[in-house]
Amino acid sequence: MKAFAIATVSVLLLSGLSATGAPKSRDQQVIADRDDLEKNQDWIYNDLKLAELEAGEKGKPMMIVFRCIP
Amino acid sequence: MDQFVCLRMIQMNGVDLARFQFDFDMSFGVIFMNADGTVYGRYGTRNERSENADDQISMEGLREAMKSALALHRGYPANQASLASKTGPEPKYPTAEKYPQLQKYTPVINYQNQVAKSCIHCHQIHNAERQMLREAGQPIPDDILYLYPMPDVAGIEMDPKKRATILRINDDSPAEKAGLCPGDEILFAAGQPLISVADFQWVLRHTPAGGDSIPLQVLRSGKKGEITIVLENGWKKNTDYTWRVSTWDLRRMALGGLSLVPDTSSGKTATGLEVKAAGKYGDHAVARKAGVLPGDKIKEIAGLTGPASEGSVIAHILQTTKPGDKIELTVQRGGKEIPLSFKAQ
Repeated sequence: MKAFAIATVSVLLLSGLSATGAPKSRDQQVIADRDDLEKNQDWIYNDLKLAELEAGEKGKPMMIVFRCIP
Repeated sequence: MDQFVCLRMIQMNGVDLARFQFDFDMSFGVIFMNADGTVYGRYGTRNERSENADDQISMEGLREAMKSALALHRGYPANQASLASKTGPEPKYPTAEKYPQLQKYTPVINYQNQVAKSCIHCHQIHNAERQMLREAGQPIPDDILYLYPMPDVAGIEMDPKKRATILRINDDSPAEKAGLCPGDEILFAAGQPLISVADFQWVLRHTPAGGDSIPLQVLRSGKKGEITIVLENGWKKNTDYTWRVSTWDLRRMALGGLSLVPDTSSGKTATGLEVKAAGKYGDHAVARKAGVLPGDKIKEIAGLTGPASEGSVIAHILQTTKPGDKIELTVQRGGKEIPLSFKAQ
């Protein structure tokens, strides 16, 4: 659960700075968020059909997080 | 976490509104769902727009909701009937971009060069629903204005670190009259198993503003009991909605772009309200152009001459006027009373 907490908080709530420390534009933040999530094995990004398919095949419930990039 | 299929959604473009209904003013919301679309529950609660806005969510509370969702999944489909009301009524439009006010958007985000501009934000759905009523010349009812009431409207303060456990009960409230106590864990409300405070808000959201009774199953000292809470006509008006981001558009419609706050000075007027800010641009500058200024004290507005809140003023105007109607107000400024008016939108 601790790992989940760290991953969730870091991936979903933070990441407003670029690698140089400069604030990112909103578009840059959304794209960076997408890139992060697409590399993350634990998350499906914006693809409900894929999530439903996987949930059906694995017999797992879906946890669907709606998070606005501020 | 590996017991779930985790899906990250960032926009409402193309999202099936029959299946995905939640408090669209949240900037963080979770829905737990079976692969067949059955909703197990929701997580994500907010009640103000200050630095304390996240007080109502916690990792502990999310963990409790996840555990409860897994338990419901293990009990599925035997528990299917109790979950049916967790899916909302059929929406007016199947997806957000079908709303007349949102038809400039497409079902997908444009990641090439207009990411934010092409995104339908969750709160825009609330805006579109209200604008649709307004353009039809219909009053905006309490059920559409006072969305997802906090449990405090019933006199309940929930523990944000627990699943649906009562932390405090307000004196002389519907909850106290029903016999609820601090420490009570609400297992079911209106027949629905609760996995979070947001689930209780879902039940409140679908309880009519005209009043109703909500049967609860409560766990107290290890024993289950049944309690019914009674909400009287107009109960939703006891919740504050002005922290919501969607209120920005209501201020345009009703107040010409004004933002009102309680006047804490000794010389406050009968309404007890003063102008905190007056919009400067476009349709949000209507009141400013009519002469209203930040710092003005509201003596009277739209016929309201007694104590009021920003939320009650907006509700009064949106339930008694149509776009184009004249909104008359008297402000106090520098010891003078100044009559002004602007048009509702």
